[in-house]
Amino acid sequence: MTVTRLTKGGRIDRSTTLQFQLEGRRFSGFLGDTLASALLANGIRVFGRSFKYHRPRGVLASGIQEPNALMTVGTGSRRTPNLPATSVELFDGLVCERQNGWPSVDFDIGSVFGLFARFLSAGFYYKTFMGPTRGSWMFYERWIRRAAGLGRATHEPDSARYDHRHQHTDVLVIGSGPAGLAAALAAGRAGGRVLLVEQDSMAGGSLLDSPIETDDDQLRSALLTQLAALPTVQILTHTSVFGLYDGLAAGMVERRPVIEGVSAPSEVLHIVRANQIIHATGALEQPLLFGNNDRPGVMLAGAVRTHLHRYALRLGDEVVVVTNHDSAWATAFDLADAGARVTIVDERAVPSADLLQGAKDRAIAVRVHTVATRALGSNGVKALEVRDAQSGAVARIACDLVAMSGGWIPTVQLTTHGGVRTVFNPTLGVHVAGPMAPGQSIAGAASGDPTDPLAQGHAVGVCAAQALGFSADAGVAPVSAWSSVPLMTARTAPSLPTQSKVFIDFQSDVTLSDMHVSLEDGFESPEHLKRYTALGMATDQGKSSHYNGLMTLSALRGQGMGALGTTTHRPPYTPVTVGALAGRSVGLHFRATRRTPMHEWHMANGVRMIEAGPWLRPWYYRWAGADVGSAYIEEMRVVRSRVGLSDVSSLGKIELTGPDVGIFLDRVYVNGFSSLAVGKARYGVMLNDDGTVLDDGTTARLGEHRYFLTTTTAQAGEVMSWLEFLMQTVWPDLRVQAVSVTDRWAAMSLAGPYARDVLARALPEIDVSNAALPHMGVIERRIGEMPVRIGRLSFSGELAYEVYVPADYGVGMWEHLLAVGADVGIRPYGLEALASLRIEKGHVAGIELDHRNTLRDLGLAKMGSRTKPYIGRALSERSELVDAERWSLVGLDLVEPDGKLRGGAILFAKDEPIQGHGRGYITSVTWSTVHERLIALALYRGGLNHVGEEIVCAYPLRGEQVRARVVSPMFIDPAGERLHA
Amino acid sequence: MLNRQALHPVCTNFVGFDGPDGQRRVRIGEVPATTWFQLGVYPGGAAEVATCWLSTFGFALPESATRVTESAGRRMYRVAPDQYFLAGFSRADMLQLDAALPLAAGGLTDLCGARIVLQVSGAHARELLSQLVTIDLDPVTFPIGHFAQTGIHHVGGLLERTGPETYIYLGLRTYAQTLWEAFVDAARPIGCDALGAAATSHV
Repeated sequence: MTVTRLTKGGRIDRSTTLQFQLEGRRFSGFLGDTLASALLANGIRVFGRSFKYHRPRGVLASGIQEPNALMTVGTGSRRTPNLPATSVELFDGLVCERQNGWPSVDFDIGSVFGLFARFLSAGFYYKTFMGPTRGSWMFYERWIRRAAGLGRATHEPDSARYDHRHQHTDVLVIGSGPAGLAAALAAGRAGGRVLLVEQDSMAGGSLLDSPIETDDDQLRSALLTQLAALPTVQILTHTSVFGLYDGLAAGMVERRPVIEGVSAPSEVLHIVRANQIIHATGALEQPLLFGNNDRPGVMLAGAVRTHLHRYALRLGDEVVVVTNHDSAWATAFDLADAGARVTIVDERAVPSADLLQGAKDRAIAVRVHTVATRALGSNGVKALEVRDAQSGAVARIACDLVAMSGGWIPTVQLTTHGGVRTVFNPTLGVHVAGPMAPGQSIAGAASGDPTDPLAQGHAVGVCAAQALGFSADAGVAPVSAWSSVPLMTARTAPSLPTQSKVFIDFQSDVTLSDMHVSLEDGFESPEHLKRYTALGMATDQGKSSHYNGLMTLSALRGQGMGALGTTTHRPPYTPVTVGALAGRSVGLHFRATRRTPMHEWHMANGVRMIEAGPWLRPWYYRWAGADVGSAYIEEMRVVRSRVGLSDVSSLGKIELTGPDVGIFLDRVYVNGFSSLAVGKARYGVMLNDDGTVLDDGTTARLGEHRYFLTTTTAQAGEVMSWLEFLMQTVWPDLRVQAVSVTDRWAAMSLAGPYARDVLARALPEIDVSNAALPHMGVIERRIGEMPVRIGRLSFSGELAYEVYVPADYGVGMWEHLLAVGADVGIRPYGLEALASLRIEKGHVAGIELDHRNTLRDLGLAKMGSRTKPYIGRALSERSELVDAERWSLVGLDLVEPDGKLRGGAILFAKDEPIQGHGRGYITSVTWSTVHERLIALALYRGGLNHVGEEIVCAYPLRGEQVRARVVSPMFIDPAGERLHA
Repeated sequence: MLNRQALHPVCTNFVGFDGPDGQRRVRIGEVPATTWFQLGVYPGGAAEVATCWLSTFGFALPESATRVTESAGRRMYRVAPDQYFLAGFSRADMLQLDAALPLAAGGLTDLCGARIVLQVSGAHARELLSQLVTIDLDPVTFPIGHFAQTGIHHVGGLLERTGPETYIYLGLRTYAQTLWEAFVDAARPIGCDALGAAATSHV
């Protein structure tokens, strides 16, 4: 392969030189080069090693079709593997390396795998590495993965920025070849908003493959000029549509130039919603099948032509163009015109007279009715062996470049995403898009009809615009002398016996012999063969192998391609980086974070936060200790002995209004609420309709028709959705409105023996005496402009009040309570202490409310009304749910002073073997400041029937077993004296 | 007692930043607080509520679910067939309405302080928002005075176009910091100025 950079021509800017590095070696190229063209111009022939056999590989194709020349670009946090060098635009300072070679791609020890190729056929690994033990594969896998594979990604956080952009358009045109340009022009002139998307760095599609300043080039310029004049047309280059989705939505990634240290995004994922989609995606040239067709220097003819006219690279001095149709002859002619010595090998017996005359005019040698059998050479092709199809005579043609073309197939991947099934066209010998789905149309080579793409594009552009009601004058279809139409047919000579490997899928190293093995092993359908051999499953998604695979399978099975069926194209059409998919949903924005109104105060006062669902909640405060293990105990002591203040704003808060709220709540909760007096609150439990507990919380009646319902933090959203579902679909006649007021109120729990004292002094305007505000009492007042709600509710088991003020007043009230209570030692306490205090009291929380437990399981059976229906009641009475042996809530007292109770520990009877799922598990553990020992809540088979029994708590992860005694889950104040103090 | 908005002091301390090209192409900030209430209509109560509303305020409830209705600085968004979001109404307004509303027809809920309002303006405001919401912001489909219920980070919100190049976003107060950071982050490739005193309330 002798590459010559021509002194003129091409679409490169010779006045702008760009410096780049390959594995430490410095090279230069020109603005407009791809990484592939720049490396080829600098004498690089081997671009990497193949996936399985570590064979040297060069450039095969151009653009995104390239299966071989995958490279790693960038370093450190910006390192990106597996980028086709043919689609990477060269930029100054680019750093790249080749892949899958050790110690280097040029001298790769892994190439010895080629010697054992006969043992490495499809399915080899799964047949061979399964024994001798069950876990063997896990042992072998890492070594196999190390030997095989492609590039390595970085483990460093990606410093690049990736954005998402939502776009809307009337007409989305995919592809900017002649059909796409004409379609966009027509739709734009008609008045529609048009988004024209091109994966290449320049618009023009196949028009870019012709020499500059020719008719094709002038046509392209003229169309782009006309499009630029239309204000409703937007052209996005560097942008690959990787998938179409329901509702005419398209996913596409725009690649942008890399600028270090700048916050501009390097990739933008556009989510486009269109009213009409026009597919003008062109066609893909297919390789021919012959031995060693993967050698560096064997390329697709169209790619050779692209490099000649776009990058001014003549890729060989002695070139064999091997084909079975007309379009590759143009490559041969152009190479000859550029000074190469060219031989054409055509499978056909009689090419057209015009072609033969063109060859003769250029002194091109022509061999007709001749097929290629194998390429010779190792790191570069040195000759092509051909065989006369009639006589069988074999000859070798010395060459440094083989330009092959097995025909063109329509690019129908995206139409398939869009719900359009492909159908086999027996005339063309390829699959084409079937009847288009509503809102979609197709034009140009993608349709399978390459004649006059300008007229086709114009027609579908007009139709798309008219379908949307745009009726301005779309003008007439562009007319041009342009005539370089690729022949839309794909036929390949029958596979020839050869000693060399015939590659069908270059990227997955799938050979003709793999196809034989797959069939011998019974994987005969295209879908099975794909999974067994990995044909078409690599990053190029079969763009150069899908057709040849089907055609070969058809030949081997003796069945027509139409009857054979095909595999299904699914997104992504082109690889998408994880960064582009993630966009800005990284770090703290991985998901939305919810903060309480007092968040900033906590942060300024030594809090350690913890994530609780979407919330950031105070976990513990540093005043109480340096770590949670010591701090929460100190915080508990303050609450039990003096008074503590906790931020409970994250509780779900729902306000219900209407004359039927009481009825509604009676049906939702297991206990009654229509009888609740105004100014009172009641603890309630609601069930899922399957009879298990959904959530609990307190509900206060603030007025005759107004209730204030609280939920657990974890279930707030689910409960709100559940209530709305019931109101809208089950009881739409009930006069009830439910509004989430979680964001409206800052909530804080004042708990401890001094709670009333602090509250009374903090809010002297409000009578909070035992008589005015008894346990489960609720009052609403206004202090100036500020409304205040106070409920005497306790989660901790202490004398406690929940104080609600509007969110804007949250910090003010918080600081006020702390200031007033300073003389009695008030302290803020966090979630860990809050959750531990409730364990001492035996209150259930989220970990016990896991949608698997019933009222009875949680010791709440008495709450369930026997006189009214409620959601979940019927199914809660199933025999399985009332079984006395169900796992039910108990308390556990540690018997061994030096032992440790752990959440998740599996429970066993005292003399029972420690194996299996046991008789239950520990849900919650805490240090009890009242009892000065570890206590726990647990779910245990038979529950409180076993009170007093000694059981074993096994924690297999640490190999621990400790003894504990089953007790009541209420470890403190069973008579409720503290609550009613 | 101290009264503090959700984004204090994050928003007030914000001074903006240049984009990669040194330009500041949008302005963002928090709109000063206003009052928020929600009017809910019970099944069968629509006519009574409409009559009561008209007699109380002298103008009709909005019928459109996409267009803001405004009267004397008071704004109404119909956010569901039976729900209206009310901005800028005084407490006296609401007491008057509450007293007049038939108990079986509809009810009011006070949501003051439950929402934050972020404003973005400038020639590139649409570009910034296109990173965050899925709404078609073309002036033809989303003209001035139109609103849409949408979401950022899968959290519900309401976007309104208040001017040729000005939008406001109503979000949940507890997500204020996340929303603010999302807006600021989306402005990084564009560059932005702080809205500051220019954050004139449309709500």
